[in-house]
Amino acid sequence: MAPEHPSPQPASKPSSRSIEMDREELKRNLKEQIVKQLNLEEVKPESIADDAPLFGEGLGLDSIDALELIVLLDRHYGIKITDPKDGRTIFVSVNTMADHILAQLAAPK
Amino acid sequence: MLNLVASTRLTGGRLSLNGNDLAEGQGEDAEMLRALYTAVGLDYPKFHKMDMYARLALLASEPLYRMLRADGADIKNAVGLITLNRSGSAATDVEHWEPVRRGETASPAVFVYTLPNTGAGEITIRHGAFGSSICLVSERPDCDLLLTIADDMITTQGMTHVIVGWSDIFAAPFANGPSTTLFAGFALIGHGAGTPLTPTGLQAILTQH
Amino acid sequence: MQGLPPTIAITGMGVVSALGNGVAAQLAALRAGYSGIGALRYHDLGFPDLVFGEVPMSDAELKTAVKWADAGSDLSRTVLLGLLAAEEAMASCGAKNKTGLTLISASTVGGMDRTEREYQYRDSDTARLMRAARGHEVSDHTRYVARSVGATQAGTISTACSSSANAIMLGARLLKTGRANAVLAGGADALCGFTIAGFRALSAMDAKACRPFSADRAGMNLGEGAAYVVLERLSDVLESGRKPLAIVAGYANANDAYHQTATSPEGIGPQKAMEGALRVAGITAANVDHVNAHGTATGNNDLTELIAMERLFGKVPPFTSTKSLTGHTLAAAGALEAVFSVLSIRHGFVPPTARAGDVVEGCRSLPVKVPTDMAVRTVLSNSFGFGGNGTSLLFSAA
Repeated sequence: MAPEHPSPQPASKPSSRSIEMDREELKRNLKEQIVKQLNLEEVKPESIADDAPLFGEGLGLDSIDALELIVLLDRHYGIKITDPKDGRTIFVSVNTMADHILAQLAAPK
Repeated sequence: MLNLVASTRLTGGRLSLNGNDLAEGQGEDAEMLRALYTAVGLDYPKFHKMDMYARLALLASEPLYRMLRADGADIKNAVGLITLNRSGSAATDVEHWEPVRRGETASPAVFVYTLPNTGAGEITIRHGAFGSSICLVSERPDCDLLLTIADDMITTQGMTHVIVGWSDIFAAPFANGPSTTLFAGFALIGHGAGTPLTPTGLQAILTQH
Repeated sequence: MQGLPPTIAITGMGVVSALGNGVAAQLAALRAGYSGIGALRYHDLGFPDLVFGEVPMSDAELKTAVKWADAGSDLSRTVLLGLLAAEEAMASCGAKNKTGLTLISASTVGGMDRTEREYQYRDSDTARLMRAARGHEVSDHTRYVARSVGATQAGTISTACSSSANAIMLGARLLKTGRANAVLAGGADALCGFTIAGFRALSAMDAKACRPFSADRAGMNLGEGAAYVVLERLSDVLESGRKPLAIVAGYANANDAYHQTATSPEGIGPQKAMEGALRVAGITAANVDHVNAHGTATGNNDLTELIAMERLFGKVPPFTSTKSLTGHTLAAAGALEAVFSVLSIRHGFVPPTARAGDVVEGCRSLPVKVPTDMAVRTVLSNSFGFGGNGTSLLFSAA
């Protein structure tokens, strides 16, 4: 059975230096979460480059993986994507995913 | 007359071909399948995304497809596939339902496997097999029926071989409880070289003793 | 070679769907282009934001309609739907001697509608859940239907959306090889939270009524239902002084070998299945009067199915997606659409694809949009399922 993943609390007003530190940690976490959520057992999280394309070559992700990334954003960050087509820009790379998460968490509720 | 060309068996952590041990995997269930995956030298990362039913079926049928490839058989067009079991996809069904009943989003990757025929799907995808296939669910294999289907696939559907496999992760009815006993038995059937295959003979291959 | 294999005839049909209970109700709805898709009225599952092809009867009403006295109580809705359709099929086939009947039934949901309701007792009353779980195995629904019709042998097929088409195909093969004398073939699937949650996770559903074969299609609508056909060798039918309803002239199953939930861009599996059915029927593509397409209205299916059809036919004959009227009934779809195909042949019309809009991107063929009277002697019916399992059936006038 899948363990529960609590959503982290969004930062209320991050300073630019803490965004930088948060961003690095976020990307590290994202890589681990991606490997785990998508069952990429033979991939080491640290081997995923920040700007490497997630789809196409490289990780060889498919349409179901794209949907699983939507679940990942919901389960780990409380971010909902209602139109899967938005995934085309959000899931380009770990960088774009981190950008989206930080933008969503900083946005006024 | 249909002939048995070869058979495999995956039980108790052992994968065997025609009664000879091919590979062994330590551990229970998923761990064991992963160990067998490595032992068999399967270089196929998609394996790790599959549910246990699909992994089991893929592993148990792998030696037969390798044999067919070595023999130059037309896997693309002329190898039929019959898969069957009793529990369908029950264990994966539970895995899908658990988060949903807690009010969480379902996992699309898990849901995909909540069908009894996705093991066959993975097999045909891996081997590029476009031929005829069917998936049955029953308490026990009806070997008369299976041989009728296999024979028809060969005589009217243009197949040269048919692979028939039982693979299940429960030995008892699902309602008896969740304890798992992984078992798979696969037979490679054709008109060419081999020994004549009777329903009783097929039953021995497809059933755990 | 022993000579030509026997011709397989359909002698009885039974069906329940969003269009209503019984063959007559289906015919009236198809001719009127009536769509049974709307919000849930008989299920307490939530999902107020989605639409479905729901059978317009409660479980209690279904139970009352089932004639079999020994049906028992607390049955899965899948079983109730199956019993209803099976009874109608058997009653309509006119066979005096119904012994030696083989049942081939298909389902994906089976008793899951009950298991999911009882799952909440997993920890507090495990025995209660396990009692319900006895119906979870897909072969369980077959047991009920087999007992109600007195089948002496039975089998269960479960290959996702091609399930009951495969049941008909297997039935035909059993008759041709003399392994059965009469076959009741079809399937049943009820709506349940399990399936809805799953398809929602796949982003496969349109929140509004679906638009198959349209440029602006946005996904499928789930449906429920059951359908069975009685199959017999034509020679046996004629010998008993009866007339067949239609002929099962061709059938084929092929795998797409590409992806579990998406069809290959070229529609390879679908094309192989369609070609195979024509080959078994001994006819060319030009002889097909009408295609009852799989037509789920997903981005992927409609594009790839249409690509395959345009490549196979050149000029595609009048084609329709009746899933625009019934929703996608999963395992029951193949048999449901077989019944619709026979109705097209017998009554000389093609049902419409409701709400169809502009042509699918990159293609040139539009589906039939309004109920259209025309002579229909041959119908090709497609059912392409998850796992890449695809079956096409070819029906012809008797």
